[in-house]
Amino acid sequence: MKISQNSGVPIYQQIADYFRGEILEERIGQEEYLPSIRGLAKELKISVITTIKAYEQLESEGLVTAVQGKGYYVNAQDTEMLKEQHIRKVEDALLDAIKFAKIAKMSDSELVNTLKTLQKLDN
Amino acid sequence: MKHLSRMITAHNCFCSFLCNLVSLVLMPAFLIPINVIVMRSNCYISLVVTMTILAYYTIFLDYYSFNGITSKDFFLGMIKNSPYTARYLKYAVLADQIRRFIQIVIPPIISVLIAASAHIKGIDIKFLVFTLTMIFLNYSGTTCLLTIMRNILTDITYALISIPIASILGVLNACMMFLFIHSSIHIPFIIWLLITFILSVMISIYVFRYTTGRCLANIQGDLT
Amino acid sequence: MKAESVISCKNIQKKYGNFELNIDSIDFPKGFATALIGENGAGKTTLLEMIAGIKQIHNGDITYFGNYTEKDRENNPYVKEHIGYTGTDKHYFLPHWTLKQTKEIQSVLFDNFDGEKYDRILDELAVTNDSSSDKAKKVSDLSDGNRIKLMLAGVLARDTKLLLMDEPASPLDPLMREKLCSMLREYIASSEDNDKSVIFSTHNISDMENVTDYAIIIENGTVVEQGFVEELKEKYVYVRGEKKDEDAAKHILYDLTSNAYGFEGLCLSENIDKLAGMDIETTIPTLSQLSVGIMRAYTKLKSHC
Repeated sequence: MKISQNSGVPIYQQIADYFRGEILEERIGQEEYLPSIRGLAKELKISVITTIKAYEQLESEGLVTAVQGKGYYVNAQDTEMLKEQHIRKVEDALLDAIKFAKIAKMSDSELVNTLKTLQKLDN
Repeated sequence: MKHLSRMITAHNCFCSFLCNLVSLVLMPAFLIPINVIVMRSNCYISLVVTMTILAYYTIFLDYYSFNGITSKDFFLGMIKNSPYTARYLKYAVLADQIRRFIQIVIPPIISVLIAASAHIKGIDIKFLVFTLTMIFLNYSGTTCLLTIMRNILTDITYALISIPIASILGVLNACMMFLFIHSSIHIPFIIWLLITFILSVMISIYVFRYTTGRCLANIQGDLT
Repeated sequence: MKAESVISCKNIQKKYGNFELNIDSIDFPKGFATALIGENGAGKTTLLEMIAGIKQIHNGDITYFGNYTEKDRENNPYVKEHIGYTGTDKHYFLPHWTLKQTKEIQSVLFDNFDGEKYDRILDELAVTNDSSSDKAKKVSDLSDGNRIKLMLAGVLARDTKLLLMDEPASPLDPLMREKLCSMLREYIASSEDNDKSVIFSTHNISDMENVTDYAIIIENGTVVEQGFVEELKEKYVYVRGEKKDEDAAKHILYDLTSNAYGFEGLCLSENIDKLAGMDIETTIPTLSQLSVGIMRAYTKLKSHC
């Protein structure tokens, strides 16, 4: 995990992002526990409260559940629902893209080509 | 055994290795030969001088070890964080009294033993009683005086006051010698031994209570 | 966030000449590191010394580990046995003690002092190495930094539940400050039950930020702000703006400093809407920006602007 102190993204957010990725890509399996709060803080050289905030964020997203005295374990993920959530995010982002394309007076084919070029770059 | 090692640790926490070395080894090594040599001419006067030097030294030494322990500004540092502060201070103060007694006992007793084995003139029962009386007198005298001095922390005041105060003991030592050897005095000399012995015990107990009590009051912030 | 408290202070009052410490309520959270932040003379040291029992006379109550009173602290060895205190007092170790003696003395003063661990930590912190001559070294010959290391090794070699540290970072070099933070995090992580806590005072806020969970800001003897750092970072926003908006912003910002080109300062998040229409940039404040901003709002120092 790469933690940057001055990237502008709060540290708790970086940690939450990392574990969200690990969970969604199933590198941390269902029912497995996340690393202990104080242990992780020690390893990452960050404060305990920052770690707690990261885990609480994951909890509020429904990815993990806190167990008193034991830590946070990964919930069973509803893959259909997750997929749907992500499709909705794609739609939102594309709607934004369309809106800005109109402002920039881009043609439809230009917009599609830009998408294709970006996909190529990403791959 | 556990108590003894704790006592030594607690004592050395205030009294450095150098102070112990000088008190228990170097001072006797310096005083005994001189005392034995002078005893050849007059054992009473020799002992009075030796004991007076020892008393000066004892009061002087306290400045480098336990001095200030009962004063308001004394730092006890880490000792205050212990759950056993009171016990620790009691160990230290008790050990200090024992060390002082040993420090005062060694030079005269060893001198007398050497003198006796060398058949120096004048070493009789009376002189032995005188030696013991002097030990108790100087032990109780120094203990009493330096307990008063321990409330003073500043160096110059200490130096100025300690010299006249130690001189009191020199005078007492000389008086004691007259009480023993002057022909006009008809009091049994064993009485002086009894008196100084009882005095030593009483002062030891009182000083122990006073010092530990005041230290603890200091920690609790009750001291004025 | 709610946490059990390791130490609770209620209605603490103490007067010294002109200075008065006056604390309504502080609950130091259990299992976390708490920083006491404030100007010189704000009352941090006094508060730490009261908790440690070095200054005993005051009004109000201090509760230890949930259910021990100050009387218990003096009578029941449990309390002091589980508190490790390091102060700024030069006489914490008397100057003539040798390093070997510091070990002997601490094993008499504390039941759970682990001499081997003490040596190991001193070795790790490069205060000593294996040569026996180091053990005969006197405390008075040590640098201020090494003296702190010696205190640190002493408290870490015991089985404690709370470390109280007055300005541990000040005399340390940057490398050792980093090490101190690591050691404190390790200490907090070393218990399965999450019951090890640290309370320290510091002026080196940014160096200690990554080991600060809860911050208490004290000014002129009273607590002016306290809370978990992540919550404080939500409560306040750091704002930078243009010169033209300065006068309007002055009335809204919690604390504002001005320069030739613009202004910057702390703003309560609840008031950020009032800055609408101004050309500003907002960021999450660092602990240092937060503390300085809050301290400045209460300081007796005369400001230049």
